[in-house]
Amino acid sequence: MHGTLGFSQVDTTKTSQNSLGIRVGYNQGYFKDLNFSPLNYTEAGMLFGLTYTKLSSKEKGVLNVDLEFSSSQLKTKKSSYLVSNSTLANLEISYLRRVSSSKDLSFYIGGEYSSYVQIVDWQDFDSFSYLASHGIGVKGLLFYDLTPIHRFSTSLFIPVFQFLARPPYNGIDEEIIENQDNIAKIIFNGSPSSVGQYLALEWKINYLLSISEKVDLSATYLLRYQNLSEINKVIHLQNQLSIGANIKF
Amino acid sequence: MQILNFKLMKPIVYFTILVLTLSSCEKLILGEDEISSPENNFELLWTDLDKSYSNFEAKNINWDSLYNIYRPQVSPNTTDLELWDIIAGLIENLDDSHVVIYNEDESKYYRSGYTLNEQSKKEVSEELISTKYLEYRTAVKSEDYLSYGKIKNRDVGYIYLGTEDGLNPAAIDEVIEVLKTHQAIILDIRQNTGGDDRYAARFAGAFADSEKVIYSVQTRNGINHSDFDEKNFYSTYKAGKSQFLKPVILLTDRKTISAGEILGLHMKSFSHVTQIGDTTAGDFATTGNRIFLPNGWTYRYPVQLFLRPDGEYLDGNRGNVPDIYIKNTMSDIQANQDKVIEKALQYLSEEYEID
Repeated sequence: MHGTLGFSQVDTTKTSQNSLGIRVGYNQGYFKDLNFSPLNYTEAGMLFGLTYTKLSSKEKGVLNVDLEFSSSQLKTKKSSYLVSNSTLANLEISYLRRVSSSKDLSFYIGGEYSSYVQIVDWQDFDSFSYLASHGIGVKGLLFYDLTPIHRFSTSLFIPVFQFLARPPYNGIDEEIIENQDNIAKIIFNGSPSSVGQYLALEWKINYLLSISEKVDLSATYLLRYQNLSEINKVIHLQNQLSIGANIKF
Repeated sequence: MQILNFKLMKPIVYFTILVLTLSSCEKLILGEDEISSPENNFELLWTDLDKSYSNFEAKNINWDSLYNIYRPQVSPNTTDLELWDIIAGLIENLDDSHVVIYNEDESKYYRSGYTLNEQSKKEVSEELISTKYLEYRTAVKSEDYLSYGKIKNRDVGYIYLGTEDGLNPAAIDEVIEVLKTHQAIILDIRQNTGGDDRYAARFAGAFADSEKVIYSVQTRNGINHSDFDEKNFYSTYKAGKSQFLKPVILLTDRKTISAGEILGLHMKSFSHVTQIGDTTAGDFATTGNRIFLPNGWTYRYPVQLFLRPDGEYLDGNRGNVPDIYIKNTMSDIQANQDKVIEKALQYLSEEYEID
């Protein structure tokens, strides 16, 4: 959840509350994809996100739609000539139900559909790779109310059943060549992955400050980790820091 | 406010420690990076080609024995210049101009098996063709290196295609519309640098007299030199409103390469097409990603296997063999003579009485 809830300001007698949020931030990470390069890369760039959240009556359920886009540079210490681009888009749709709550704490659990696409390229696709995963997973969310206007939340998402789209053994094949003008067909042409083959998690910590009945300010840290064990191994870790504002309606 | 500060302080401290830890532990997350020693750069390149290059069997290459020859030449004291020469020597054995190594800023590159291709650049002259042999020459602006014209004093059209990297192969339809009244066309693909095989197929469709399977492609998919995926078959097809089915002479030279050779395959399958010139490069296979070395050098190589329908390899020194072999020398060009075009005109005259 990207700090869009503004729970402290919520009148829980209301039937539901919606919020729409926007955020910008900085993305830092580490990247290695043996389909793309044998080298280690550091990643740095900007991110942009949009979030829609709907709280059900008495906060029993949370529907969240989150769209993230980031564009980063990949740098290797070995050569400044090998600076590459990374473009990432991630869509998450989750529905969580409250399973326990106390005075300050509320715990939610539920499912999430996610569609994640990262494309890396060097010199206008003279070299390229991609990782796309589409599927469902489990998500847990914890709220901690510090004061009526300050709230921390943390969530953990673990993909369980994913369709993974990756370049073939040698980076290209006839299918990629034939569909090179239709990237969507390539990145949605996945196959089911096993948990042992693809390990990923996404952990978020969010601080929310309600500045009015209609507006929250938020600060979010996100840790995303992916480890794909196949012939062309992928390890990708991202640290994201972002700030944003949410309008409640 | 004090309560808030106390409550906030602890998680903020933990959070800061966490972020600092996770943003400063590259080695822990990714593992050791590749070192940039001469030996490791050589090993990475040799091993990568060993597991991914597609034409070892087509070219009857014993890659292990080449390792035994070239690896001992590399030591910790090998200079960049020496390593460059050693790797160039190694890949020259592949005799495959799709295998290329570039230095860090691409100011220098070495292309395997390229001597004859390079030489052929001096055995043709666009200016000579335009001034001596053509009445007019019109460039198709939307396409790279596509132009057409008419042979002087002959009822013969002329088309030059230098690459299959253009945006719209259907542009050939308009060219054919202009030239269709001529009794024959010379399609000149000498020095054709290749591009997109789909472009070649569509371009050839303007001359197609039939639809037939002409080649198959497989992509290497395993560590054994013989590991390939299923064959994908490719056929000629008719394209455009109508096809030019009068005599066509296809001019080729040693530097007609890759998608240029695919165009040649299509054209040669048509009964009204005759190939005149030199055998093409014999480098059909599509290259994969540019691969990086720790010293900043990059390289590329083919990852696919192209076969004729009967299973015969297309790569290697096979290429498209002309029906009538002839090539210019530098002296011919210097003497303002393109013997290849002249042979084409002579053939049209003798075989079809087209003058």
